[in-house]
Amino acid sequence: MSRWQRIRSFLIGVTMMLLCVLLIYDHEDAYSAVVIILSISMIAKGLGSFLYFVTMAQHMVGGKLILFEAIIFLDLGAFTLTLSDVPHIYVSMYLLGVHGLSGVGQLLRGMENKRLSAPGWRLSFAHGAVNVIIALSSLIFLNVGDMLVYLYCTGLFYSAVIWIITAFRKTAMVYTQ
Amino acid sequence: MNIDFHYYATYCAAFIAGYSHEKSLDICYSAQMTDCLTASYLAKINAPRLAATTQSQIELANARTDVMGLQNITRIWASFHFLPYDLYAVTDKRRSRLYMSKYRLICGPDGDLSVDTVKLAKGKSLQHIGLSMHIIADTWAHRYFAGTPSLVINNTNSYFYEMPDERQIEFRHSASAPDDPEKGIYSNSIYLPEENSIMNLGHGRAGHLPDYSFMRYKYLPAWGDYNEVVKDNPSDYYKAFCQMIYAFRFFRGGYDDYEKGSFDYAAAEPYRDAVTKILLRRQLDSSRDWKELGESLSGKKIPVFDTDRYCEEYTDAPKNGKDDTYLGKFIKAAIEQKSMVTNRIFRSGSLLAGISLEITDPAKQIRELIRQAGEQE
Repeated sequence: MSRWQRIRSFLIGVTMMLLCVLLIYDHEDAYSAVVIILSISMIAKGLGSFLYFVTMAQHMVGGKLILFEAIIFLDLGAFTLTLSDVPHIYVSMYLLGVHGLSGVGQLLRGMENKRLSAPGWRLSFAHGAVNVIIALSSLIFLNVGDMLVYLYCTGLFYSAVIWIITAFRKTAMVYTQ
Repeated sequence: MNIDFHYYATYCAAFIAGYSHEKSLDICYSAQMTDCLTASYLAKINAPRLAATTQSQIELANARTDVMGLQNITRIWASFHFLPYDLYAVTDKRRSRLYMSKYRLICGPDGDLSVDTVKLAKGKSLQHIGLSMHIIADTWAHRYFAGTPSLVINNTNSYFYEMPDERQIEFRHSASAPDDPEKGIYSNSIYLPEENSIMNLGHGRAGHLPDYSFMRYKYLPAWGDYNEVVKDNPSDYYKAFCQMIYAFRFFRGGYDDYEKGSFDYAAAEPYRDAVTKILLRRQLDSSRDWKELGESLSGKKIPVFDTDRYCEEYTDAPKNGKDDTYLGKFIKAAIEQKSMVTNRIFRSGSLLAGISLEITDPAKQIRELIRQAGEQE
C-alpha cells in the first residue's frame, strides 16, 4: 500500500467516524450528509471505472469486469441520490442493505483469500461477518425507535475502525524480479 | 531469472567465451548485483540513490504510485529487468495514447534497446559488461511483461497450463510458502483491479514461472487479445546462454558488430547436453548444478555470492577514488544504462519513465536552461 493510499484510507475512516457522531446527535441533517457523500463517492468511482474501461481496460483480457463494476457503481450512486425525500426508516433500511451487501462481498473476499493462502484474510472475513450480522439484526429491531440509527452507526463506526487499521497495516508482497 | 542463472550461468558463459576465471567472477558478480543494488543499499554505503537497479520488497510496499513514483519504478524495472522490445510498436486496432505508452514497454529479446545495451557496454568496465548481461538474460525470461505497473498489460487470469501435459497451474498468494513444482502450485501477486498497483508490476501476476528454467506453459496475457502465448523457458534460457557467449565474444573483439538474433551456438555445443540437463531439471534453484559446471570448466572454486563483498572497499575509498572501486564502476554503469533507456523511452514520446535531456555540451545547455528560465520569469 502506497503512502497516499494509507492517507486516503485514514481520512475515509476519520470521515466515517465524524458522520457516525453526527448521526447520533442530529438525525435530520446527518442522514442527508450520509446519503449525499455515499452517492457522490459511488458516482465518482463509477465514472472513474467507466473512463478506465473506455481508454484502457476494454483491450484487456477480462476487461469487461471493469465495465460491470462501473455500471453497478453508477447505478447505485444515482439511486442513492434519489433517497433524500424518502422517510428516514427506508433510508436506514437501504443503507443497512448496502452495508449488508458490502459485508457479503468482504466475506467472499476473505474466503477467497483464505483459499489462496493470502495474508489478511481474517480481517476481511471478520469485517464482512460483522457487517452482515448488523444488517440482519436491523431487520429484527426495525420498529424499535431509533434502534436502526444506532445499529447503522455501529456498522459505520466498525467500518471506520477497519479503514483506520488498514491505513496502518503492513502490506505483504510477493517478490517480483 | 534468479541467482542460479545470473551468477553461476553467467560465469560459465563468460569463461566459455574466453574470459579468465578472475574476470568471469567480476562479470558474474555484477550480473547478480543488478538484483541487489536497492536505494536502501546505496543509502547504506552513501552512494547516489539514482543508481538503484532494483527495489526491495519493503521499498515496493512503500512505493508511491503517483506520477513521480511510477516514473521511478519504471526507470528501474524497464532499464534493468524488463527492457522494452519495441518503443514504437503498433497494434492492429486503435488504442488510446496511454495504453500504447504502456504496451510499448513490453519486454522482449533482440529489440533495438538490447543492441543499444550491449553496445553501450563495449569497451567499458567488467562491471558494465556484467550489468548488461543481466539485462540481456532477463529479456528472454521476462518477455511479454512490462517493467511498469499496469493492469491492462501485466494482468493474467486463471488460464495457465503447464506443457506438454496441459496440467492447470494453481496459484496462491503466500509470500512465505515455497512454490511446489510437483503439485503445480505457485505463488503470485494478488489481483487488484487498479491500473497502477504494485501488484501489477512485471510478472508478479504470473508468479515466478518466468524465473524457472524448466517451465513450459501457456497462458493468456492481458494485452494479447485472447490469443494464447506459449512460454518455453528451457529453449529461451538456452538462447539467452548462447547470446551471452556471443555478446562476450563481441566485447572481446571476436565480432566486429553486435547483431540482433545472433547466438554463439558453436561455442556452447560441447556443453550443450550438460546445460540442457540443468535447464530441464525441475528445481527452484539450479545454483548447485551451474556451480559444478562452472568449476569443472575452470577448475577453480566459485565463491558464494556475497552482497557486501565490496562495500568496505567503496566506503573506505576517498571521495575522488570511489569511481575506481568495484562498486563505483558498477554504479557508473547503472547510471549510464538507466539514462540511456530513460532517454530512449522519452524520445519515443512517452513520459512513463520521466523526462530525459541529452547533455552533449554541458556548459552550452546550462546557459540555454538559464536563458529559458529567465524568459519564463
